[in-house]
Amino acid sequence: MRPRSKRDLICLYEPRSAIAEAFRTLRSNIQFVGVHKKLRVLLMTSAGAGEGKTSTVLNLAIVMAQARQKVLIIDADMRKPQVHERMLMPGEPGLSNLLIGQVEQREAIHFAEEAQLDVMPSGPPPPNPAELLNTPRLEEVLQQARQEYDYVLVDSPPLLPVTDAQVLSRHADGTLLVVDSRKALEENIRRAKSLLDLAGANLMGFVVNNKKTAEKDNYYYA
Amino acid sequence: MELSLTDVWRILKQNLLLILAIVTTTVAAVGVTSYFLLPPVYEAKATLLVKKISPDSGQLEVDDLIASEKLVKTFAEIVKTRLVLDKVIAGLKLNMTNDQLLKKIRVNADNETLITTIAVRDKDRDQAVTITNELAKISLGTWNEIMQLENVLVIDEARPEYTLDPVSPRPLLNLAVGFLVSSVFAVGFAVLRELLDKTLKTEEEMEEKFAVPVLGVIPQIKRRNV
Amino acid sequence: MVDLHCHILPGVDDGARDIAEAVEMARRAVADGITEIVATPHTENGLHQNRGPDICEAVRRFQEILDEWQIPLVLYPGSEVHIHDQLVRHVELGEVLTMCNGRKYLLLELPSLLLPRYTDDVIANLIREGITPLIAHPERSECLQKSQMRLQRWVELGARVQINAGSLLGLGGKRIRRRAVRLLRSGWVHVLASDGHHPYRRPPLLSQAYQAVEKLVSPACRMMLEENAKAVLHGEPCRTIPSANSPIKSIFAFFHK
Repeated sequence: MRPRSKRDLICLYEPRSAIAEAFRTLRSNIQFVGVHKKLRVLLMTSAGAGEGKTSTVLNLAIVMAQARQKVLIIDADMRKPQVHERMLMPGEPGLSNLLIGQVEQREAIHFAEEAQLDVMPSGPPPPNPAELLNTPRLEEVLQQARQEYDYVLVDSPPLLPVTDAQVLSRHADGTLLVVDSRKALEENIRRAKSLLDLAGANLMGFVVNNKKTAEKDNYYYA
Repeated sequence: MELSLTDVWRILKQNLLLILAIVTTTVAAVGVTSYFLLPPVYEAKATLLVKKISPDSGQLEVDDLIASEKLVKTFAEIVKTRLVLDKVIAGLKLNMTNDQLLKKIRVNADNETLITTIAVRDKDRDQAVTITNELAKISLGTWNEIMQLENVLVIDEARPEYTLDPVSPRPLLNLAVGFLVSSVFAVGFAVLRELLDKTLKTEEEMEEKFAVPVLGVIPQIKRRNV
Repeated sequence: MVDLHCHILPGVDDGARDIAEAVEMARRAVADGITEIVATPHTENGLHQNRGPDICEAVRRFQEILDEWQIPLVLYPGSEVHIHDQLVRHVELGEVLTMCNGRKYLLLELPSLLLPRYTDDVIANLIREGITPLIAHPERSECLQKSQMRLQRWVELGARVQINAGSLLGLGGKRIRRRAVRLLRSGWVHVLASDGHHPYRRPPLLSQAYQAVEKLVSPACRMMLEENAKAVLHGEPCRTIPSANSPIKSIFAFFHK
């Protein structure tokens, strides 16, 4: 496997690392918080680009699968799709094909052997991603996924530049805002949150990424 | 934005290194300048007495005193006139203008007494002494000529033995000032930086400001880890 | 000496990988003066299950091996369980072992960067059920170091604290060592344990750390820690170490908050 992939899917290749432990805590918290309300479809987004949404989706999905949950990753970032690249999987058929009715749902889903989970890549980038997400077809897709999976993790574009994530947040059971701890500007988070509030989304919580730690890694692993 | 005392203390602790760095460099720079770079300046002094000559009785009256005051002050001004300064420059063959010489001179006319002090500052001790004495001599002479009196005497003339220590620079004072000013500046800078820093630093801050829980904290990937 | 936290059982977690390594660990422990070890494999941490009955069986088998090799070490079953919201139930069902399988103390591991939202509840529930949580190596936890109040609160509720010998000796870095010393001096530590994973890299040793305690605090403190370890082994209450901070340090610590 390419080196890039190993680093991205750190929960798969370094399950003993501090990062993997952190994702297991995240999984544990999500399960605990959502236990009564059956939060299955979870949207991961962030205020700006480059805060770590996609790697959070991938790693969280991996640890959920490791806990024997049935997991589907949907790459709803049809502008800069990264899920299929990082998982070294085919990029189509995917969500965009599905939303225009070109394929059936099961055709758009691919099984990731090593990670033991299902992936729906974004498919070929459409000219009008936000509109495409605004169709009733999306709700049908998610509804079907809800029946078949324990968790559906949805990757999306960032909130501030485009409206895709806002649209998605209406359909998700819960939204998680990924924040890069090195550049957590109050102003941006505030704007992101108000966009989510406007959309009527259920903002479950924050995931703080890239946090500086004190530990000397080569002695202590998790 | 409000800043509590605990916040200030925290800012101080977090920026301790920066503050210490600023203060020590400033104090060091001040110290080096004061001890090594700034040249010492000496001050020579001469003291003169202005007597009121009363041709009549030997008793002093109020008018006499007031008049004396005016005399002392007038004399002090005479010392600083171009008339006197030119003569001093010429007499000593000094390589400076009137204004330059004037800057070195300080004439102190004490209101309470009839004493006038002439002080001259110069980097060269001997020159300070010479100028002072010459200035005293010339102004005395000029006064006597103009006023047609002989009522000014030199009490103390300037001498090198009395002008041993430089009056400037004052290193200890400079260091103290440097320390205080740089401390204030450094602390102010640290506080300002903190106030302008708009990033959120802790999970507690985020939860407080947005009333949304932090469900996960993912550490940075360190190179060694992978 | 008693070691309450050791990953000596072969092949069950990230500790001893095989019998050879495990026996080597046992030898080194005995040479260090350790006579009894509670085997505490990682339990329910997302990587290793290590159910109660399996651990007891593994301990029995390894004890046989130790006896064969005539290594004078007594082994007890236990587990280092990672906190989760069903913990209390699992303990009751016997899926998760308390120290020596049935005695009062439960070695509890917490995640380092963020405590799960049910942490306070689980700890309180454990205490209510008569189980004393023994918090494993809090000096390694980032979030507990930022808010020592939480640890204090748990101790006041009835939890107890274990720090790693390695942390005190600086094997985990200067920061962790400083934290460990601070906890020790403030009287928030009840026992010392090795958290041994490997004969040499993370060894199952205690004596050097105890010597460090003598120097850092006092011989009396060392004795109390050693006695506390025995008390925990037998399920008896442990004593609280008095704070060794001088008044000046206490004032400084007050501003440190």
